[in-house]
Amino acid sequence: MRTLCKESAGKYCLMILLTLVWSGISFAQEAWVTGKVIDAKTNETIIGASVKIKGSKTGVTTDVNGNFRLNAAASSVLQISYLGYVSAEVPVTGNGTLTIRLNADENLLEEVVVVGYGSQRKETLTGSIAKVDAKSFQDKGSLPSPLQALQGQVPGVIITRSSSAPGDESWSMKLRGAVSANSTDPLVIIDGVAADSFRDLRLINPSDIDNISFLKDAAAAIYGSRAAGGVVLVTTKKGKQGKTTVEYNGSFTRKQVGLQPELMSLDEWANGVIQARTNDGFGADDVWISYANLALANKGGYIDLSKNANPISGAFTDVADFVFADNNWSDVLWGGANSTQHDFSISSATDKSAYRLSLGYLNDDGILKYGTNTNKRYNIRLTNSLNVNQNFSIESVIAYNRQDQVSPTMLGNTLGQNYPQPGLPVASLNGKPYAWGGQYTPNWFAELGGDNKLNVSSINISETLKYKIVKGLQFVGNLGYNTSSANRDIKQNSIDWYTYAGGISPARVNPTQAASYFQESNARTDFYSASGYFQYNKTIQADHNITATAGAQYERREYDYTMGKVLDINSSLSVLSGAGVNTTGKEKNHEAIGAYFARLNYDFRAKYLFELMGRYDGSSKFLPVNRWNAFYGLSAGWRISEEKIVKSLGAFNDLKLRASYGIVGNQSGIDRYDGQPLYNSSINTGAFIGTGKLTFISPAGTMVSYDRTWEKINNYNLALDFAILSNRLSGTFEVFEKTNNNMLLSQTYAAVLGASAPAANIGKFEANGWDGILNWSDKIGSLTYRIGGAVTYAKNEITDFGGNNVIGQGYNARVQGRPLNSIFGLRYAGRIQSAEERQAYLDKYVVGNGIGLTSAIKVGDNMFADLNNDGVLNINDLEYLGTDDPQLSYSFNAGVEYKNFDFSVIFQGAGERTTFRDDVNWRIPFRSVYLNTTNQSVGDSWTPDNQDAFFPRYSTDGTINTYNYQASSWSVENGAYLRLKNIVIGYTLPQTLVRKSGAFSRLRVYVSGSDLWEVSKINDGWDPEATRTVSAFQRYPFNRVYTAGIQANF
Amino acid sequence: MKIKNLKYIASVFVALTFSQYGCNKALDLDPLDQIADANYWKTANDFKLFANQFYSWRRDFGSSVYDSPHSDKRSDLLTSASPNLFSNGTNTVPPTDGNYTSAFARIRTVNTLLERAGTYSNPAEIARYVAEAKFFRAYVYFELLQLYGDITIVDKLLETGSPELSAARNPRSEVADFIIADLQAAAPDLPLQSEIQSADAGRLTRGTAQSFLSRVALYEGTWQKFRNNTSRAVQLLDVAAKAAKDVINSNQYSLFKPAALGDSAQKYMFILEDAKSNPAGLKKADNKEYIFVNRHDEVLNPIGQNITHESFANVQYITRKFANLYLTQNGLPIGHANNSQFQGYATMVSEFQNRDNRMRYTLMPANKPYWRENKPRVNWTGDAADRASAAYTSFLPTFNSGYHNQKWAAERAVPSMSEGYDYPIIRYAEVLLNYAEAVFERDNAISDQDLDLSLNPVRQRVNASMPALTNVFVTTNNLDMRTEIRRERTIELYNEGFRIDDLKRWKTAEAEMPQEMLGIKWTGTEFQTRWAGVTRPRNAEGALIMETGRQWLEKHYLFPIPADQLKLNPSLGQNPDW
Repeated sequence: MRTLCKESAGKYCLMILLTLVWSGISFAQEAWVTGKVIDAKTNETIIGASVKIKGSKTGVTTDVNGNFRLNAAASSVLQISYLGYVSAEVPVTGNGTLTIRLNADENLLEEVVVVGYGSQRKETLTGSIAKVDAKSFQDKGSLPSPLQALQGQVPGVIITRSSSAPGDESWSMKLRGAVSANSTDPLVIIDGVAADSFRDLRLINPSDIDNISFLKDAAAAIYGSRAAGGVVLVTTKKGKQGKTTVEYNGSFTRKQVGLQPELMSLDEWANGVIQARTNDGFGADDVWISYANLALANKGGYIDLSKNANPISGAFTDVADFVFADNNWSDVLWGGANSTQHDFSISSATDKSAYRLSLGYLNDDGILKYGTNTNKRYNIRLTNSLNVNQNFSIESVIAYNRQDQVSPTMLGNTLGQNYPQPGLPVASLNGKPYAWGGQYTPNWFAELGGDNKLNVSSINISETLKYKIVKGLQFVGNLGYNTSSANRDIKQNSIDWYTYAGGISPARVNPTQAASYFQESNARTDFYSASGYFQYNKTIQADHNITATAGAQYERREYDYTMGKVLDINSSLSVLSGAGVNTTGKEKNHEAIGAYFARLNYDFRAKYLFELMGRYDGSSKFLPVNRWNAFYGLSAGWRISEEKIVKSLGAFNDLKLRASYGIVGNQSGIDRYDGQPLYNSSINTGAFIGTGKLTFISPAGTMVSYDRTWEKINNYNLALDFAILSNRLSGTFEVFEKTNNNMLLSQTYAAVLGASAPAANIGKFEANGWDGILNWSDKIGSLTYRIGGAVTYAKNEITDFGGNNVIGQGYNARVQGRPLNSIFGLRYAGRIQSAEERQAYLDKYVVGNGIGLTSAIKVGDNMFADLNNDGVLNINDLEYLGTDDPQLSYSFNAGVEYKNFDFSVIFQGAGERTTFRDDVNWRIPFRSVYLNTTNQSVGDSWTPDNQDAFFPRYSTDGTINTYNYQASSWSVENGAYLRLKNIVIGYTLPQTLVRKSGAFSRLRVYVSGSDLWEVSKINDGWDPEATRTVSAFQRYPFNRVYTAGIQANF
Repeated sequence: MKIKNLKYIASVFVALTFSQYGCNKALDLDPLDQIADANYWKTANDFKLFANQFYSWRRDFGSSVYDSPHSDKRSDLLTSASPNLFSNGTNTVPPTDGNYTSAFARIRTVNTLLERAGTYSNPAEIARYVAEAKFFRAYVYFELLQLYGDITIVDKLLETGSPELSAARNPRSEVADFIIADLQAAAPDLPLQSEIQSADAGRLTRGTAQSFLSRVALYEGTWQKFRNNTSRAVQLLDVAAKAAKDVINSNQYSLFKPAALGDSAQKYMFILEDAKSNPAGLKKADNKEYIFVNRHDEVLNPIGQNITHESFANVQYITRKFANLYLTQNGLPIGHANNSQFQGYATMVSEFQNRDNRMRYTLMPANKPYWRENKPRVNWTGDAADRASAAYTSFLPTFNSGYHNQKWAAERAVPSMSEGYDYPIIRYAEVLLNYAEAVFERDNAISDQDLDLSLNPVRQRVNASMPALTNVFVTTNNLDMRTEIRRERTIELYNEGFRIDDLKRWKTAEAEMPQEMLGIKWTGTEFQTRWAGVTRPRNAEGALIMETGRQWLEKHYLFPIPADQLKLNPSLGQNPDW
């Protein structure tokens, strides 16, 4: 019936409805009641609200103007309800039109939280579960991943990124940090079916997400062996009770280059070269000093060596010209780009059935100015539910997600470690790729080197059957199937390089035609999941509430990868065809998990809460004897605010103390097939013997394990929830501790063993921290406002490495007694300011040192401290300088709504991160004299006149540079930052205006900006969020993002 | 749908998901894309495929011409823009050392084959691959012996609890004996060069094992001799001499000496390819000198290093010491009192006159044309058109040290990195020189007959008129036989990764290595006018000083044991003085 009632036919429908109502009840002592339902706060009309006569089945829903009309007895009471609002009861008072104001349901305690194999009311929740809803993904512009909208904003959820390259953002998500030296990515479950990896979230359209639950503590134990990193439950939007809703959201986003290191100008570079070479003892005849002087004298010009004698005799014999352009290669490579997102959805629901169909489109362009670099995402999602009868329902979710990503094949060459000196021109005079001897201008690799195209097609199907067996007992079955196919076509073209005048020399072909290739690969992942559980609810004597859940699950993953590559191609073809060598690759594996699980909830008057859950998991990875293991969690809550004495105080709207303990598992460090020595087969890739490269069989590299099992992580949590001042101020504060006492580690043995030892359960790991959220919201007149913040502090330590542990200088992934990803270095002991100081330092330490100290050091170089005072500077003097993982993650937000305007702002930051940049060419000025480096050191390197400079004296000497810039308290960076994450100003057009248009029921426009401002303590010019290893995709600077968008309901 | 049906469906579903049988069965999964040990080692071909990987471990240009433990860049013959830490004696104890770690991974791989071979039903079928395994175990252990001296011997598959992991190192003599035993066991089961099928071209031969044995025994024999362990030395040098003699007597190899190339034979051997790479159009098949090679091919297996760019008058600064080693055509050293052929240093070309022909084909005399891969030969005649294409139409050597290298630089047109000449791991000339030196050091004398069998053919390959080295010639000219044998070796094997190892075993590094590294004589020569503005200091004689302040301490004869391994097993003990 309702589906027939489209707005266009509204009046017609109403007439039918009225006729029907009339025919059924026309002879009762009744009268027409008319009324209007509006939002108590905004006075907006509520469309599709249910208006029922209490105690009868008679009812109507409000029309497009919020009006209703029904025949009711004079003494009857109307029940008005609408999702998201507190239901109201209004007595029929006689004549006149009723205006019924519904209050939005702001009582968070009524919230329902998805907890895995079921859901619970938030008020009786005892686990640590953070929840975000659809609002989090609004107004953010185009979102390549939903995670982008959540950075810093969910307590306990640490989200970092490493690139802004379209489709290669490399978002990472950790729930309360690591719990193992092995990967502990959270398990992501989308509509009841596990995703292959949390990275699959990038394929989802963020505007399809209804809510996400983050299971941070032992509440995750219901997922047993994979719950170590926490569990993330994503629930997508369903059709909502009410009138058919048609919604469109669209946005246009402009991206501008944000923070990035600036390279030296020609003057800065040439003067720096002269200074560095002079410092190194070279005289005016030195080729590089000669070259730099030539550059200064000929800035903007060029010397064609085919017409002029080489001014630097004997050197630069492989170049055809000297060009002295003054290019900033950062500006050459990067520029602005656009992206757009369009989402369209239609949904509806009746008592019998509900559906929602959504379409999404994202087109995200990269900021690299050369080559093709885009990411497109297409989403279709159809959710259907059908109540077959009172006891049986089926819910079906079918989603098709597609990602089409294109990036330059030779991006590694463009964004490799060669940053051309500023003299190199962008192109030859006739617009062709320019090469200077063996140095190639990087932009052309991206422009002409061919495309790397990735197409990911994923289909997700989730079918849920619910059957009520008897009162209180329900069976829920779920069948899930995810299939994902990633096709990658990589083409690498041969590129001809030219002299500045436009000539070509035969050897300046790079890659050569022989090295041109086409590679085609297909990775297919099939994931099957079947689960079923019984759920039993019983309330005894109105005080004792019991819910019991028990079930089983089987999951299987099949992976199949094939690759073909052929060399020497015709660049106009995009198939595996070429004159050169053919290589193929193949990878195929499978794994499965079987499980039994159960959960028992008990509460007494919703005041004392208990929960017990367990899971018994079996994995195909282990030998049968080690295969099965149990995991469990238990928790309790005390709703102090429900105690009479507290209630009588009237101060607390909510006050709840919660505690939990559980054991969850991790199997990420384990290979697939234990107990079997394995060999790899390498086809035609060995030594060149006979007529081709050899095929060979080689050991898989790791020795075999017969006895390992899952890591088991003890998870403790203590929390306090509160809401005071009429729910205006609410918050949660939690402390946690996680210990992993049988961490899987590949112990380092003496090299004579000849192979890596198998991972064994020999390590110990500890993590602890706290997280919290605090929100205040209130209204002043018609102005409503809110401010809030979330913070997460998580630190960890490898307490036992299970054996010997060697500390290296710089980055160390795992060191006993330290957090993961620790940075070690020498302690900087100042700069050598005098010959005496130099000599004293050398006399004391040069003999037998292990830090690259040689007598070649001079005044202006760094000194390091002998921390252990043994008279020798070596590896034993390294000190812990911090960890590359931010231990602190936080955000503040504020929002104001006034009349039709809304404004919100989010600041996000991270702290306690120490990073040590891997890329030496960026970090060390003039390390390679023929390359450029960042201009941070300009005017700030040691000279006799500038003894307080931050940088040591310039040098091109590898020994000196390696020595000065080795990891030390001086050369590491403080990665703390605070940035303006998001700011939104929106305007909702007045209803009167909107309605006049006839097309819309609601229309909002907004502008927003992301990453617009920040404070950072980084010295080398990189964005504070940039990775330690700034190469290829990681060199993409993060953007300043400006978005304009529209939200329309029809 | 009726309720009854629903109940039925639900109970089937429940039964399936709850079936313990189904779950356990469904969790037994086997590897799909890897080979399980239990299914392998069934045929001789399984052993061959496993042995194939050993060939990836051989030395190549990257481990010889470029900086690496055996490179001449770490010797007294070459320097470059930045000083080499190992050459000037400032290297320190490294935190980790890939040479050490990867060697033991290789040894384990070899031992895997040998252990599985022990239970193979038909040993004769796999004898060749067992021999290959033993050769490569010896090959890897020789590397360890040269680098570290004493080293742990592992001849079986170790477990994490094996005592070898915490044991002290085996003394170097045991290691040398272990290597020699492996090589002696391997040789008889390997085919002769002439028996190698074309599909196996490049695989090990009996000659390879014997040649390598001569290298190992000569190395260890001289090492011991110059550390006053004479009886041990004599025994090892005898092994070396006999092994080299076996190779000579096998008649499987000969020096590359085509008449068509005349005195440039040696030069073009190093850049021999199947595409036209020399004026005579000779191909790789014409070369019978290479005993064990890392084969390359422009298409199938290019060198993959910027080898011409590296080698052609660029980053390798040749020292004056090396240039001065070349004899004049009368067989005398340049400094010899009776030497009237040496023309002195007055002009840029004078010192190249009347010298060993290898000098002008290895170094680059001034005022001549030189070609390279991107400025290649066009017709190989050296005519005007050919010369017009040259990288240097008339070479002016006034940069770097003034002495320039051309060995390993291609002359034909070929894309950079795609050069396809083979890397000689062992060539016949070395075996001949091993023989001469082993005999001389064993007996403290060498007969003219043995010299004519070994050293003289090498010297006279491109110097037909140079007098042979004889005992009379030595006596007459008041020369020293040992010096002349070593001179020949240094010149013939220049830039092939021998020099620093030779200095170590001769125990002469302490005298040779600290010397200043010099360039051309500048003061008072043509260079002074042609090369103005030189700021490098000159020594008393007027030669450019490229590097000074070098040192060589006793500890430098061996590499330090890397710090991480010492920490993992303190019983290893550090090498002396580190």
